[in-house]
Amino acid sequence: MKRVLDFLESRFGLVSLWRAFADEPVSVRRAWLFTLGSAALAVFLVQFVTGFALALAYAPTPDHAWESVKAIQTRLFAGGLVRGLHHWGASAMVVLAVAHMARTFAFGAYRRPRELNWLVGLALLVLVLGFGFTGYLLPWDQKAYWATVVGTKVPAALPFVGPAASRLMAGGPAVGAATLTRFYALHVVLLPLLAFAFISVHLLLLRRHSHAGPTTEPDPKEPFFPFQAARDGVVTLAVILALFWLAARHPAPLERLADPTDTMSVPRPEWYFLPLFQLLKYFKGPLEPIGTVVLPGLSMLLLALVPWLDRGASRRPRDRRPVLVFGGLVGAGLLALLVFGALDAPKIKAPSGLGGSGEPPDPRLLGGLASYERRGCASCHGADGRPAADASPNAVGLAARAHVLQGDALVAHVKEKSVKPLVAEKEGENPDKDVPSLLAYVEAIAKDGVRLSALPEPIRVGGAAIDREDCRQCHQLYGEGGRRGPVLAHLFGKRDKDWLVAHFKEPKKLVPGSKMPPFRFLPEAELSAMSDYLLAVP
Amino acid sequence: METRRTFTLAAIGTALAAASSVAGAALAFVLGPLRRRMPKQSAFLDLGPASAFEALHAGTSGPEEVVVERTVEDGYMTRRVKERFAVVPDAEAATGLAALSMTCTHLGCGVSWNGARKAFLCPCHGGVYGPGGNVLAGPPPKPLTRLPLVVSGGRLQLDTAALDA
Repeated sequence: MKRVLDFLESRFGLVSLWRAFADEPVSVRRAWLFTLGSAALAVFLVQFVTGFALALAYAPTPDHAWESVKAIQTRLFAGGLVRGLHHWGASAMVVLAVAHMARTFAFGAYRRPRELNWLVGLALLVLVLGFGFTGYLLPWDQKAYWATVVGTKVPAALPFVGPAASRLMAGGPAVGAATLTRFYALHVVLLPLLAFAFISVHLLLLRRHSHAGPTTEPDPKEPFFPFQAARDGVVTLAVILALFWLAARHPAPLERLADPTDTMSVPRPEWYFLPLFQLLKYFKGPLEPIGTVVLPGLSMLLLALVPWLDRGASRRPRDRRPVLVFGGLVGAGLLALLVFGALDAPKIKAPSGLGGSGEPPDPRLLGGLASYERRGCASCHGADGRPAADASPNAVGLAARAHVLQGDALVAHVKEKSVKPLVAEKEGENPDKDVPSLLAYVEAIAKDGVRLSALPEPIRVGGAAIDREDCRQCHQLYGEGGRRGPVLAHLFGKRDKDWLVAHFKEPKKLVPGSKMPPFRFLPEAELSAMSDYLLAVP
Repeated sequence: METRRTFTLAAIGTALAAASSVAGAALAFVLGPLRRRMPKQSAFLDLGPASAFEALHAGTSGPEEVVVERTVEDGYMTRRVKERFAVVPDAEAATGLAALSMTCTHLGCGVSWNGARKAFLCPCHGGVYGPGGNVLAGPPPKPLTRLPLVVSGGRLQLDTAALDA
């Protein structure tokens, strides 16, 4: 061992490097406040490791991004855990970086000779926000898509350079495939390299000028190792344990696949961009660049100049009152914007009777569910493909199975085993007309583990009727179907239930010239359920 | 001494030229999206039979929402994108109708029609537009983009020439 160390010392100077690092005198008082930087560094490494792992399974194209993230989250081994760590790590990164900076500001530690390190730290904060902005587009879900639409349009209002800047960010006229590859390249290549470079300089400068310590003399010191190193270790461990807890208890969210035509899900950025998002609401028309660029830009500039604006000899709080008050006001302002932004979320209410559960599933699945129940599939496979605990040993669960019968084999199985349709079908109609919907439902149970049988009755009945009556022959619903009639979306607020029921019975009466056939023959309860379903569709 | 200085400058100059030529090539690639490749072209998208929109003329219903799909060039691929439009009455148009893009002119969120308030609302930053797309409140800098409609063979069609390629 000794010979190995001697070799490393003589060839590399490793032992003296370690000694210089470990024996560095650091302040004893307020020592816990000086662990924030180390914790931020640790979380950065967590992000690097988990990010590398995620990149192994992620595909940055609009056709595959969402699917690959969904696979990571639900199917790949430990994928949910790794993605959870990365997701919560991003928030922890922002919290720790800002706390570290606030501590530095409060202690006036940016003063001569540490001005340059303050600037490097500021650059690192910008990088952290850059990581956040480029990172949350990658899942290509609704939140990702809309937050990036807004984010890339923000510079567009700038005079002269605005449109070009916006186009460059998006990689084209609109957010799409080119945006995804751009953000991916920034997120996994450029930003990490810059971050490592800036972190190295940050640590180098820290060692060169040593810790500034707390604000008052006299200031007892002790060597960094083992005392401060142990404190750093404790805080870092606590942060990492918290990340594991969050990742296990609150899995990283994945919303629906990005859909430029869906406006029901209200676009919200990640919490750390909420202050900026909120600021956009206050500056209207030509004043907009004030909120988007001027105010944020000025604050950054002011922060950068702080070491030269506040340059007295004493770092004691009572000698720096104006600076501290100013800093406190800015912090309080940001916090207020964050809170207002969080409270100001526009509420789009789900129609009553829905239990507020939001959007109903595709009618094909509900048609499949009705058929599953009618054909008695549940007697062997259980409700939603999950046999009850006391089911017979022959019961076969369908949920989350890698292989279920498919295609002709499944059709044959259904025809052989199932109870024949109990509800009389219309004269001359194919009695197995419901089979495609049934197959879609079974596949959704096996692949996505859907549970539909507990949905409110109007949604189940209405969706099944819409599927059975084949409304999609003429209407688009969830982006699928014919164009002869209007799209069935966003009806809530535009039509009410009475109108819809009356319209089903006699379309011409309410819409002159309508080509839609009347559906008087359906039971009133079904018409009412169909209306409930349609009003719940976003 | 003169030659030593000249040599140093020449060496630095060569290194800079080599570095900037590579950086320039990469930068040109990064700036590529600033060039518009697809020339603007007029294309008509079918919105369905004109008779389906008759209630609009009569003023008995709110704006009729339509979703159209078109092909756009997007980075390394061409993609089908869907866009939402609201068909509204327009006294000045020959067809008596016009289409409003349902993309907020502020920062690009999707607006939706609120029947109770008789206005298009943007969920992002609180923009409000009247039934004709005019700005009523909030930060939007200009009205909703208005596109002309034509009737051809009894079908209502949207002229997409004004849309950004």
